[in-house]
Amino acid sequence: MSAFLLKRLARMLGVLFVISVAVFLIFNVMPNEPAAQIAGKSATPQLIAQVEETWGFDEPLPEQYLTVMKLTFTGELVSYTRQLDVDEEIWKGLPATLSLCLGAAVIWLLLAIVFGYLSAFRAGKATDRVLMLVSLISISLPIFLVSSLALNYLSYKLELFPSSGYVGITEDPLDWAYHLILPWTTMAVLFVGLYARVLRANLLEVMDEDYVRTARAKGLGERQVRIRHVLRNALLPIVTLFGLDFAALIGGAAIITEYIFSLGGIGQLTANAVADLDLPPVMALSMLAAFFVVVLNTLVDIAYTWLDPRIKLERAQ
Amino acid sequence: MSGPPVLEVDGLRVGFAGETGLTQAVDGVSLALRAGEVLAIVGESGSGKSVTALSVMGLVRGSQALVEGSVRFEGKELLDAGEEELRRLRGARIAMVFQDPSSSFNPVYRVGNQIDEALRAHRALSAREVRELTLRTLGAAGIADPERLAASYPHELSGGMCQRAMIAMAVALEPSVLIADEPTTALDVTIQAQVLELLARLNRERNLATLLITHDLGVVAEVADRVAVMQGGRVVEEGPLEQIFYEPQHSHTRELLEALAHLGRPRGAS
Repeated sequence: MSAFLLKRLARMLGVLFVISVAVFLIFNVMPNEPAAQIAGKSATPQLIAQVEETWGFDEPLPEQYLTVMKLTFTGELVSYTRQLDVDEEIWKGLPATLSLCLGAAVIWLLLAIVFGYLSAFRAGKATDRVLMLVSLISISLPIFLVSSLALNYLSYKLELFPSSGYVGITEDPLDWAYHLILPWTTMAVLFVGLYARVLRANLLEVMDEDYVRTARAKGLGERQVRIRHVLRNALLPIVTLFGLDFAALIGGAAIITEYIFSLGGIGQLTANAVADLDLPPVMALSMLAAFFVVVLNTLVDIAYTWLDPRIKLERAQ
Repeated sequence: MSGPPVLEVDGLRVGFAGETGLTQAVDGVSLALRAGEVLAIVGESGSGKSVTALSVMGLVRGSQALVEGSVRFEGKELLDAGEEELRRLRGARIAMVFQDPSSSFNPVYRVGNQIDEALRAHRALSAREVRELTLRTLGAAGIADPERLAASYPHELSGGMCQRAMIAMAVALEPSVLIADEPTTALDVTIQAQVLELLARLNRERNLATLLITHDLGVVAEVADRVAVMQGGRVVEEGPLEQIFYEPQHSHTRELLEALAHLGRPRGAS
């Protein structure tokens, strides 16, 4: 176990290094003058030159890279355009993003299990067809459409839910949930369909396994057979899928939902930073996203050894 | 080996509705199985022997299958029994052992827990009593270290060990009928002999009625008392072991025997 974790840690450092170099190079290849950005719109060439010197833009690239990395890991990174503390911004955005993604994940996983289960065990019948059609629609709907519709009807017209803003869970848990219901639901819509379909396919495959026939032959009740033997084994591949999706979401992929509901999370931060061609936040946020992906993958691998005894960590590398 | 049959199959017909119409997998099979005897059903793959066995267990029900005729267990008709009634019989009164032992246990649970689960489905026992019964039945199936086997996952065991555990699970609740569907086909030859020996011993000791399904006449010769030869969903010949082997009446029986004889001879000797 510890050898596995050490190897994963080493791999994570490698991934972070490659990503940071890539981000840094892309940033420097693009036509982009950070010194001019910092100096302001009506800056004189002298001022720009001065900024270049103080911020180190005149130094060779490897040295600039090292400076950025040093600032990233000491938490002293400051954005070029707004000159805000990047660390602080990320810490401010993280609770909103985590709340959004965790809540949505709970909803989409539960619904996907219910839908997948119902349609697999009624395969070919009306329930199955309706559920699969609904999930196909849910997969095909763009999230901006769903959230705009939800906002328009449920928030502006019927005034059932607040339209925007994030309230910290420590401030008021009820208000926190109340503000997040719409974002959770719209984000869940995007994933429910996909997960339900994947689960349905897994369930149908597992149903034909020899051990399911054994479970019936030994006199287990149908529900026990379905839950303990079919569903339990069919959920395994879902864990991998979930690890990847969830990591991407908290790493910034939740941007559209965050933006439409003005939650001020990581995704929104990333979008602003990219739009401003602002290297420090882009760098820090890319590293954060990569970090989440590696950490969640490691967690998935560890979870697998617990969920499926055939898998050993030593071999999972 | 006398007395009324424990299990009687009468004019059993099983059809599967498919896109090309009805496929008649079993077409009028009648069999009688008495306590203490081993009845072997022999036939090529597709001859309907496994479907016959699964029908007895009530495991081919469903929208696609059409089951007709009669299956009586201890005088009671099973084909129109309710699902709960059948569930109570399965594993407790009529038990089954399958072909591929390694895939017949769920890979994510320990073998002991899977046997416990079977026992709990039929008996209201405490966790401790269940585990004791599991260990006892594993011991009775000739497993040297029941505790260790119970704590193992299926993939950690050899095919032979898995099949012993499977047989132990099947006989744990002292069923009257044991259906063994190709129980040795997936095993090495030496292990095959051991597993057959175990089945024969349990049959004797517990006065079981054993229905042995196989395509292998060699296996039949080792343990069967009576043999039913199946072809195309029908029993084409049935009789005591000696009669089938030494005075086969039906041409298909002779074909099967000849195939065995050819296989038994060294290459080039014929």
